[in-house]
Amino acid sequence: MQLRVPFGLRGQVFLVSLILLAIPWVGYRYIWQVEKFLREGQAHVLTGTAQAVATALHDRPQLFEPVSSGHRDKQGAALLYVRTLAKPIMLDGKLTDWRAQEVKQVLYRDETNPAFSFTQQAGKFDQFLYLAFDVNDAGVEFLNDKVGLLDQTDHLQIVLGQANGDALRFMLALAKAPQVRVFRVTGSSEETENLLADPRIEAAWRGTKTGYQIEVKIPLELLQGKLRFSVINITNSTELQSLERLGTGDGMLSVVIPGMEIDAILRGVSRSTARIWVVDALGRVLARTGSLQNTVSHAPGPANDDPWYKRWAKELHSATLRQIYSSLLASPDKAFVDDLANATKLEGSEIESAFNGAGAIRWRMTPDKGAIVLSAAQPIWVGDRVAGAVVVEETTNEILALRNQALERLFNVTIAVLLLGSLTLLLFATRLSKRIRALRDQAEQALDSKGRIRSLVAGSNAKDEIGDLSRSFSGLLHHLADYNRYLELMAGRVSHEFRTPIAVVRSSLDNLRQHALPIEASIYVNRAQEGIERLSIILNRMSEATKLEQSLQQVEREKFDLAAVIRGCVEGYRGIHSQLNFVLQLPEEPISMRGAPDLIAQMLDKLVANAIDFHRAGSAIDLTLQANLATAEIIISNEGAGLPREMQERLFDSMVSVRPQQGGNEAHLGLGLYIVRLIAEFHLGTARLENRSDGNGVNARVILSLLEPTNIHP
Amino acid sequence: MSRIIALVEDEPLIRENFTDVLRRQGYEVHAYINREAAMEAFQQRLPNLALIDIGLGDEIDGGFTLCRALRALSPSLPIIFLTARDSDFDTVAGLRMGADDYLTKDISLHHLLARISALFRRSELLSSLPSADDIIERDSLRIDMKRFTVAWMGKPVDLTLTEFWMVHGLAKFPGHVKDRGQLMRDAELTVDDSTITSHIKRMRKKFIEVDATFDRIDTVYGIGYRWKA
Repeated sequence: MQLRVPFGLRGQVFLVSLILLAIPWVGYRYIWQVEKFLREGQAHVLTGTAQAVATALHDRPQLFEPVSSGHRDKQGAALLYVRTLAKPIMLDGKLTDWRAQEVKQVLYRDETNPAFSFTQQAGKFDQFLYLAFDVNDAGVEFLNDKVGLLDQTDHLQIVLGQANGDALRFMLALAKAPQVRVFRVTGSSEETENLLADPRIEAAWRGTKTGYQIEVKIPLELLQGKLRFSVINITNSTELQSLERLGTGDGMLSVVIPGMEIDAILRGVSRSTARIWVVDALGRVLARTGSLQNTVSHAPGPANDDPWYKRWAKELHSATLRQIYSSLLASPDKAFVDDLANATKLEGSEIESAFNGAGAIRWRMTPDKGAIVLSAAQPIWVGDRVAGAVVVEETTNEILALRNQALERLFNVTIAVLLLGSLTLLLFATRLSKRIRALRDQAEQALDSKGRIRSLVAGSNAKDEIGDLSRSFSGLLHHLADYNRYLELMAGRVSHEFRTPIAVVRSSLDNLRQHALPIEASIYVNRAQEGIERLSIILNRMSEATKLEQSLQQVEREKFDLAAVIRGCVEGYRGIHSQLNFVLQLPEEPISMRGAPDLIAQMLDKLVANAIDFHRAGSAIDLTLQANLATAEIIISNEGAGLPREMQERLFDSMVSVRPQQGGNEAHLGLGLYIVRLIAEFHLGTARLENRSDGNGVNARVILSLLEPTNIHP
Repeated sequence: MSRIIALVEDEPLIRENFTDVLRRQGYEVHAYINREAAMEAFQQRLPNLALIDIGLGDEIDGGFTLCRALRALSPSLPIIFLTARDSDFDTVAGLRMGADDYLTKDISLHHLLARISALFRRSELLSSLPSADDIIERDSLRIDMKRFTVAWMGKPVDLTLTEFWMVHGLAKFPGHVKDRGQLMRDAELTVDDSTITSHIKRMRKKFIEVDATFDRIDTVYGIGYRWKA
C-alpha cells in the first residue's frame, strides 16, 4: 500500500512553475526592443542636432575656404582664410607639420622674375596665428658676420591693421638660422632708429635647397581682422644691391578664421554628451566641440545614510549578482579609445553621403571595441554647392548603461519573483500533498490487516476538494462500519426472530403428541421434533456471539492464574475426549493476569474443539503456554490439513467458516472463532490461525496482555 | 377448583398451543393478548400463576411493566417469563422484577409443565411444616425439596426454580464435578454454556448476599462446577 510516487505533486507543481521562467525572457525581449527604440531615438536626435547646426551654417561662404581664390569681402578686400589647426606648429622652420595637416598653400610669384616666388600657408592654433612661407630664392642673405645691416638681409614685412585705422608694421629679418629678429617699425620709414625689437611675434627659419622656409607665430590679440605681408628679397653683390618685393601688395587682406566663427556657433548647440564636427568639402576639420569621453552614470553605491539592511543588501548585491551581470552584459567602457579625438580629417560613408547632399548616420565601433559611436552627418549648403558637413557623434554608452540597469533590475525582480513564487508553490504543494498523504494514512489505518474497520476517518472541515474527499471518505467508512455491525448483529437478530416460529412449531408438536396418533404418524412427529431440536441448537449457537458481546460489557475482571485455568481445561478435555492425546506444556510458575477465567475457558473450548475437528486421526493436540513480562501466548496446534491461504485473515470474523458443507448434527456457523476473537480482544490481545511452518498442520495462536488494563471499555 | 393460569402472549399461535396444553393438564387458562387486557383482568381477580411474554404487541417491555404491577398486587404469586429474548440483560432484568423463572419460548412443553407444577407446589407448601424426608442438609446448606427453597446458615436464599435445581444438582453429591450438560439436565434447561455460566454467577451472588464469605460453588475450568464439601 505504501506506494511512493516518484513524481509527486511537489515535482509536478515545480515543473508547472517553470512557466515563470518566461517572465525574464519576455522582459529581456522587451528591454531589447526598448534599446532598439532608444537607439533610433538617439539617431533622430543626432540627425536633428546635425541639421540644426548645418542650418546655422548654410549660405555663409566666408566660413569655408573657397576652392578657388579671388573671393572678396564686402569692402572688396581680398580674403585670407586661416584654418584652425588640430595640432600646434613647431616653430622650427620645417614645414612638415603643415603638410601633415594639409593646409592650403597660396602661391605668390612675379611673372617677370620666375626665380623669386613663395608659397604661403596660414593656420590658427590656440590663440596664435601661424604663417608659413616657403621662399624660392637663389641667394639667401641673412644677418651674419658679413652682413650686418638689416636692409641688407632677406626679410618679411607684416602689417597688422588695427581697429582704429592704424597699422602695426613688423619687420622680420633672417638672422643666423633658425633665428629671426623681429622689429616693430615705429616710424614711417624703416630706418634703424625707427626699429624696435618686439618679442610678441616669434619666428624661425631654415634654409632649403631652393631657398628658405620661415614660420611666424602672431598672437591673435595683435590681429584685428586686417593683414598684409610681403617678402623682401635682397640680393647683395659687389656691383649692386638689388631689392625685390613680393606679397599682398598695398591692399590689406581681410583675415577670416572660419573655425573661430563656427566654434562660436557650435558653442550654442553643443551638448554635453555629443561631439560636433564641422568639416569642409574635403573632409578637413574646421571646428570641433564636445567630447565623447563622458562619465556614464552608474548605479550609486551604498549610501551611508541608508539603513543597515539596505546597505547590506546593496553590498551583497554588488558582491554577487553584479559580478555575474557584468560578466554577462557588455558594460559600457568609460576608458574606450577615441581614435578621432585629434583627427584633422574625417572620413566615412555618412560624410560621403553628406557631401553628396543627403544626411546619413553610421554606427561604428571604436578600435578597441570599447564603445559604439553613432555619428550623423548633414551637408552644409552654400548656394547649390555643398561647402562642408556637420558631423555629430555620440556613444551609445548611455543607452547601454540604461539597458544594463534595466536588465539588472529585471533580473533582480525576476530572481525575487522566481524564488518567492517557487517557494510559495512549493509550500502550497507540500501542504497539499501532506494533506493528501494524511488522508491516505488515515484511510490505510481505517482498516486493519483483516479488513475490519478499526477507526473512522474524521472528516476534515476544510472547504476544498480534499476536505470534501475526506468527508465523503468518512461517510463511506461510517456506512461500511454500520453495515459490518449490522452483519455481526445479524446472527443474534436472526436467532431472536426465529425463536417465535420455532416455539409455535414445537408447542404444536407437543400438543400433537398428546393426541392418540397412528403409529406411522408418530414417526413423522418424532422426526419433526428432532428437526426442531436441531434448529433450536443452531439458534442458540447463533445468539451465543451476540450474547457474549453483550455480556462482555458487564464482565468483571478478576485476578487469576492463567496456567491453572488451562491446566483445568485440558484435564476436562482429557476427561471428555478420552481417546485423544492432549500434550500440554506450561511454565512452572503461575501466570497471573486480570480478566475473566470463564471467558478464557470458553475461548479454549472453541479453539480445542476446532483443533479436534481438524486434527488427523491418531495425532496429538499440543497446547503450549509461554509468557514474558507483558504478554502470554497460548498455542494450540494440531496436525492436519492446512488453511486456505486467502481465508487465514478472515476466519475470526463473524460467520466465516472453512468447514466442508456436510450433513451432521453439528451446525457450524463460523461463530466459534469470532467468539475467540472477542474474548482475546477483551483481554487486550489478538488471536490468529496459521499454517504450521512444517506445512503439516495448523497453529491457533492467542496472545494476551498480562499488563493491568488501563483503558478498558466500561 | 382448578388452578387459574394467566397467559399473556401476543403471538396467537403460541397462545393457542400453550392454552391447549395447559387446559389438557387441567388448568384453567386465561389468555390475554396485551398488557391492558391482562391488567384489567388482574384487577378483578388474580390468577394462581402468570406466564408472561416480555414483548407485548407494540410494547417492547410490556411484560416487565406487567410483572411489576402484578408483583405489587401479590408478593407471592408465581410469575414465569416466557420469551423469545435470551440475552443476559433481559434475564437479569426479568428476574429483578420479581419473576420466579425466566424461560425461552422454545422450551419443550414437558419442561414448562414441570416448572409450573413445581412452582405451584412451592407456593402451596410454603406455609406448611417441612418433613424430614424432603430436607437435604449439607453443612450450612439446607434444601427443601418440597417447597423448592434453599437456606444457607439458616437464612433463606431467594433462588429461581432453575437455580434451585442447579444448586440441588451440585449439592447432592458434594465434591463431584458436574459438567454443564449435567447441570442443564438437572435444571431441565436447554440452554447454551454461557447461560449456565451466568446462572452460576447469579447463584453465587445470591449466596454471597446472605454470607459474604460464601465460596462453595467452585468452577472447574473446562469441565464444570462442583459443590465444595
